[in-house]
Amino acid sequence: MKSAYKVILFSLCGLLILTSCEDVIDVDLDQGEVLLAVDGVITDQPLPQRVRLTTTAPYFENESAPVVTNATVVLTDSEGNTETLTNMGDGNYEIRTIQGIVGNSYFLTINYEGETYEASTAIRPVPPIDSVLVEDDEIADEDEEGLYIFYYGQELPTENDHYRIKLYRDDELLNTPEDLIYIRDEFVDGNYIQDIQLNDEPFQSGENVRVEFLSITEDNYEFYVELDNQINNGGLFANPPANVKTNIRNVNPEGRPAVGYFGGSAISSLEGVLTENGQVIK
Amino acid sequence: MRKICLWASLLLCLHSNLFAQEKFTISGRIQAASSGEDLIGATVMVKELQTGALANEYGFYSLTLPKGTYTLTYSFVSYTSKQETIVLEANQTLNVSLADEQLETVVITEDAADQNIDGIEMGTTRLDIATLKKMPAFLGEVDVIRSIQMVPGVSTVGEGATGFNVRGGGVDQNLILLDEGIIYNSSHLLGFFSVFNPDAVKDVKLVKGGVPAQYGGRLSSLLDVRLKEGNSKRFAGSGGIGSVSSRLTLEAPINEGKGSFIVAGRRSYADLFLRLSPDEDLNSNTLFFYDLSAKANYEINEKNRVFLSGYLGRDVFEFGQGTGFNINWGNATATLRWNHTFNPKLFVNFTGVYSNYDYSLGIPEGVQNFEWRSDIVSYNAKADFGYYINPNHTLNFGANAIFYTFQPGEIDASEESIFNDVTLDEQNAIEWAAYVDHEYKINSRLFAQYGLRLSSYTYLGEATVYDYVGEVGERRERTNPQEFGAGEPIVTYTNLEPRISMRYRLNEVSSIKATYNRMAQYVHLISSTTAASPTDVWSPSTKNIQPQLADQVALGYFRNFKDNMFEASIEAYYKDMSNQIDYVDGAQVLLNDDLEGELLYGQGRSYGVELFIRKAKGRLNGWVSYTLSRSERQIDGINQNDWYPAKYDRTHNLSVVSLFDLNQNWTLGANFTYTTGVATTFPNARYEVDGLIVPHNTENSRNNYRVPDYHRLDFSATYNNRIKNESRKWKSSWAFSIYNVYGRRNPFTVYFQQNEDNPVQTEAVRLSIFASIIPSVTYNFEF
Repeated sequence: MKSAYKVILFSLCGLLILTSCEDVIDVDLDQGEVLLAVDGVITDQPLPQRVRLTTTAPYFENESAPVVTNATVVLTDSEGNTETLTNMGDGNYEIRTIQGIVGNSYFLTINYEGETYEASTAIRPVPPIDSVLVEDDEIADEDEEGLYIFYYGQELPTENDHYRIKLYRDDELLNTPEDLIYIRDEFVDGNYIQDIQLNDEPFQSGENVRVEFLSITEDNYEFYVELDNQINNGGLFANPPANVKTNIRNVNPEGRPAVGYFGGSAISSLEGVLTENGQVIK
Repeated sequence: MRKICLWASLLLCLHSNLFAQEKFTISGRIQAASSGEDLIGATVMVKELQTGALANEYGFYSLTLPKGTYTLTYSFVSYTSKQETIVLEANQTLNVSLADEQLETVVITEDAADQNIDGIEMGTTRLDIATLKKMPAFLGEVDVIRSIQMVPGVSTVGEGATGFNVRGGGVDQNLILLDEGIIYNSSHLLGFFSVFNPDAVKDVKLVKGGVPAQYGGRLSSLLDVRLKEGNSKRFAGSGGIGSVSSRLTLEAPINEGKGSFIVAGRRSYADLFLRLSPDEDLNSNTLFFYDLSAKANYEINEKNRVFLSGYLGRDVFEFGQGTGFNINWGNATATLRWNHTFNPKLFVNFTGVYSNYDYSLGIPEGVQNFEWRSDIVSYNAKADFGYYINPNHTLNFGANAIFYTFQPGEIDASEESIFNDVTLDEQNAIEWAAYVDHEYKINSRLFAQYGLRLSSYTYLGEATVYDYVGEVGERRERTNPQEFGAGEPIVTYTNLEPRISMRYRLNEVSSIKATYNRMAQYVHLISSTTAASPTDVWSPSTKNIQPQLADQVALGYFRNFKDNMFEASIEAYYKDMSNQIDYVDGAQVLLNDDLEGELLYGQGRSYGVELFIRKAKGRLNGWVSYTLSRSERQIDGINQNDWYPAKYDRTHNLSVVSLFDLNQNWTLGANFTYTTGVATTFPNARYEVDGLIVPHNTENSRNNYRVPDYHRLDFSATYNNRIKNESRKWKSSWAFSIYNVYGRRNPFTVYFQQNEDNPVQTEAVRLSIFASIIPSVTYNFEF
């Protein structure tokens, strides 16, 4: 709907001298209290992996988030293994011994400035990517010319599966708010998924593309829905801005809350160097 | 207790009737001489008794007076008054035609002009279509809903958004009737234009408070739009060519004036320009709306008259062909009415209405093909009686029943599609009401209209209903399934809705008025986005979704100045609303079996003062409207359970509408609007997750800031090409209009994002929908 709306507005703009416009303005904002922000994921990929701890900052801080270096982070899995993550001193805490395994659950405990936070997640199964198709957009404008990547693959027969798709260009994750792709299987359950366009900005031939298909929990999916609502918030039909949910809970409900997410994923991926229209990467 | 009072007073008036002297009734219709159109709200005054009556929605009036000789004055705004002397010795019928002012010399009598202070209505605005047509219009499209936003107490979530908000109510709390057919979505083109073709509209009335017992089903207002009957004197037509759409209306008598019909059509043609574009992204798109209004009426005999009217409107967008996305939506209504005069005192109107709103979106071809549909269909049958006992007592009573069918959503996809078929269960409900209402002129100063509406609603099977459990403010899970068979009642809600209006005339030039009304609403628009979208679905009240209720009180002082040249009023209101619906964060409201788990419930309140000054006469006319108000909501799970301003809460809301008749040919117009910016939520912090910067409000606030103020100036100039030759029927005019004269970038919203080039940097972005000066020209004609 959002893009439909843009097209309508754009057509009206061009043809009826009707102009919608977006410009940056100055706004005075209050400064909220400083909260712990957790950004971590455990996957079925090789170790080490990491959990990143930072704090919130004033909205117009315009610098990387302040890192947290004085926390203790403990990871436990559903098999009973426990590991204190290695504090790297730069906000990162490394997972070095507990391997992410499909079907297991994971519990994170963080001690920070006298507060104790807990989070839990699970790693759900992920289907393999069958292939991606590379296509030219025939009717693209000049600045949109290039190659587009389309996903093909079988969805799992189980109900209530959720996924995220990440796309890398020459090993660099495409990670603007518009690049966020998350899906659920409610209307496509058990089907062979075809022709899902993954990129807005075209690739060029010679570039390397890597596609990652990640399983996520339903709660993590809801986190991405709310994240998307919050960071892609323009337009007539935007949702009212609302805080993004978190699965980081202070064990003391009266204590200072935290933000962010600790997720678990199994990952299927494939990659290849782009050559031409019609190329299939398997 | 109230019930008893009502019946007691009914008995009283019947009683007093029995002992009165011999009385007779004069009744008939008041019509326009030129076109035969019924004049809704025209007055008839009895000079000798200093009393009178109003014509109803069908132009019918009835006066029961003691035997005698009377001078009756018939009048209506912008029509020439007419005096008739009658000798009333038996019941008699007198149909009266009033001449259009433009054709003869202007005479406005006192009687018609002091309706502002003498009438019982408050919180009510009647918009004159002729005035609307001279006002500056956005892109030249004369628009009923946009014009309504210029009257006090009406706001919106933003420019270009669907619908309107009355005294703090949601867009779904307005009962929008087109010839008594319910319109479920009042917008074309996502909200830029409204669905009413101005050429076919005769009368527009907005009632914000003191809604008579005859109407119910929505909390906040009644927008009663009546179509023209069609010219019963001669074949006539009108139309226009504008920058957005073209219009054509044809009307003609049936069987030598026994009846008439009107057909009015309108179509936009932005897509015709799109096709010419060399840009394939654009020229493969289709984008248009159209609407068609048709109406016929026929007078079978003096006692019976039938009306058939219909409306069909649709918006169609297609992006690319075949595998492209397309969406279309629209309203359809059909109304059949039968006016019957049992006797000169008892008028009845029977109505049958079919209303439908549906949308369909999807991709017609390819592996991702699907078609998603949703609709709401209602059938409404009603009978409304008007019993004109004598000039001091009028009794209105009636009943109605509405049967609803809701299809919240279904997806059809072909075998090759990646999508599965999905069908949500249809929902059925029946809503009925009975009412009685008494207009009682107690003495020359005091006038009361009071009534009672009994409404009842039943949610019907077939359905499986659930309870929903979970934490407050969070998504809740279904439990305890209960099966109900087809037609089996699942839950019934019944409400008594008292309505009272009083007018006390202080003196020749001023009066005070007070109203109280309770309203119940059984169907709800499920819309979790800032502005209502065409894909929003209506939901019935269910076991979990309770009917919305509102109580409103209002007090007003009305005064006319300078021989009724200026009409002024000040009204204060307080409205309390319960069972208001909101949504959990990230709510999924479409195609969701468990929609009820995504809803939050709470209360709303709204209060304010509305000031209105109209200059009704003279070369310079128009009005100033100012509202100081607050609209708040309290929903458990939002804003830490505290009260917060509604999105459309506008502290200050000022509108100035002015028209100036420069000479025979030119009319100039200027509108100015100033409102406080809409309420919105701003962050006070940010954090990083997944390499993205997320705005955050550590207080969990809702609507804690205001976007910058909204203000706008519009100009219009209308050139009437008047031809002196009387025999020539062809008249034409040019309407020039400039919207947003000083090109203000009024923000629709302010949102927060990462800078595209430097992702570490965050910024506040203002989105303006109509950010520049927008001129337009429209050619109109009549014959």
